[in-house]
Amino acid sequence: MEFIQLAVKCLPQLFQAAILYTLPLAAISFALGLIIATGTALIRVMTAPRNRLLKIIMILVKGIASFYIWLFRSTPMLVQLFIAFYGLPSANIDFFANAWISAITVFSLNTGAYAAETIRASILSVDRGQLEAAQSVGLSRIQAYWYVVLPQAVRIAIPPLSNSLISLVKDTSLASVITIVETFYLSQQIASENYQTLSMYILVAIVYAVITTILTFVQRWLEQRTSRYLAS
Amino acid sequence: MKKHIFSTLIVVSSIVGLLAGSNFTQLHADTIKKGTLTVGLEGTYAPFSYREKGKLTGYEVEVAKAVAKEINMKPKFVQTKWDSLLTGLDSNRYDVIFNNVGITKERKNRYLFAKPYLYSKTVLIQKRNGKLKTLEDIKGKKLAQSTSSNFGQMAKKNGAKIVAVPGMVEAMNLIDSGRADAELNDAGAFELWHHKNPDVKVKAIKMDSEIPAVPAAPMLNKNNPKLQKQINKAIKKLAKDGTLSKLSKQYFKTDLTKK
Repeated sequence: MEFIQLAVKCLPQLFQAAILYTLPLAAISFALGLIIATGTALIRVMTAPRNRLLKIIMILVKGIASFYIWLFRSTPMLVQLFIAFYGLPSANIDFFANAWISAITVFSLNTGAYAAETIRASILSVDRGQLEAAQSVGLSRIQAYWYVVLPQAVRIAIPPLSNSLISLVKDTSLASVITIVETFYLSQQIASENYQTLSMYILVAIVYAVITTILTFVQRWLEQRTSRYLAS
Repeated sequence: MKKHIFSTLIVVSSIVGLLAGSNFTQLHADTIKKGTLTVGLEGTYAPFSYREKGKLTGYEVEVAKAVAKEINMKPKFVQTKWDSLLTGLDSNRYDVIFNNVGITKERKNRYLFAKPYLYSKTVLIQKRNGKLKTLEDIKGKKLAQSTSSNFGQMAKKNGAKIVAVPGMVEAMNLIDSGRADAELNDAGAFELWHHKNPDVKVKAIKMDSEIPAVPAAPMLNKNNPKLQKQINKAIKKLAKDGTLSKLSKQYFKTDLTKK
């Protein structure tokens, strides 16, 4: 009974924090992350051109892309947040003057590194015959990618990318270490006021579960819609 | 392959070099935002700073507001976890910390302290049937502490095994469930906790004889003596006109502002 009273009182506050902090942090970072990831993945699957100069530039760009993925996958996101928000200013690098900018930068670069590999795998998993067939009916290489390969790759990428988004939603709770009072930290604050820790943790778990469930439905819908692109 | 790594290194190091060379963010102002006193605190440590009916309040919140008013600035509160709270001062995330930070020698080497606004008394919290009485007794025992807090360091110095927790609420949980033996914490914070949780079988042993009251003061960045002077003046005045005592009685039910 007491729990229900607490839920009625606190759930609105927690959902409000989710709408004001958790969701925008995750949504903006994921959108930026996807753009970064798509660019990085395309660079990584491109084949080297014949022109010598272009070839050297290409190798360089590919090297940067691999380095970026290595960097963000080989360190914990918590450490990356600390470096961006607390570490870099001591080296006089402070374009992350704002906690939000730091958080979004780190979240999107981190998600981008993982998603780049997902997208690269999805592109590579589209049968080579699809590209050859498209080119044989007269499409240019870019057209063949745009109209034939990428739509199929998108369908393949949806489940693993949904995983990344769902992880990101939950990982935004790390932003509390860089002064953002997001949903989980708010629940801790309420717990320090009423000392009902277990109940508060359960309530905050419910909030995250509700968001994730909605995302799961969106994923299913997207899968159904994009299934028509798949060659069967 | 080798070439490829080498070229990557050149690009990366030149980018880093460019960034490190740019000095466009040097801060010379007294506060990170002009006219605003940005205060760092936890917001999860009742009755120091906590939320009540959705609003940030507590003894230190109110003291900081009064200080800001004295020096004609607008107070702005930034909340974060204790363990990253001190780091944030180094990187100019806030001007000053009001978070029951005890004045210690190590901290004095690195930071500036203004005048104390609180003398925090230490208690040893344990189960009601616990047998720990002195600091010597905690040797080898499991103490639930935030590692970098003064209580945590005190426990460590006296040979306790530290069970790291983010804050007092979690520490009390561990003691209640038997996963930690005890905790050193502030007497006022424990009183309030016990008042709200009368059924939990814990007790607090006063450590006054062994641990003198720790003065807690606003902590500032080393390069900001100007602001330190201003805050000192404000605290002196607030002590004199009784504001500090009044706030202490309101939040701790007793006056902790004198030695």
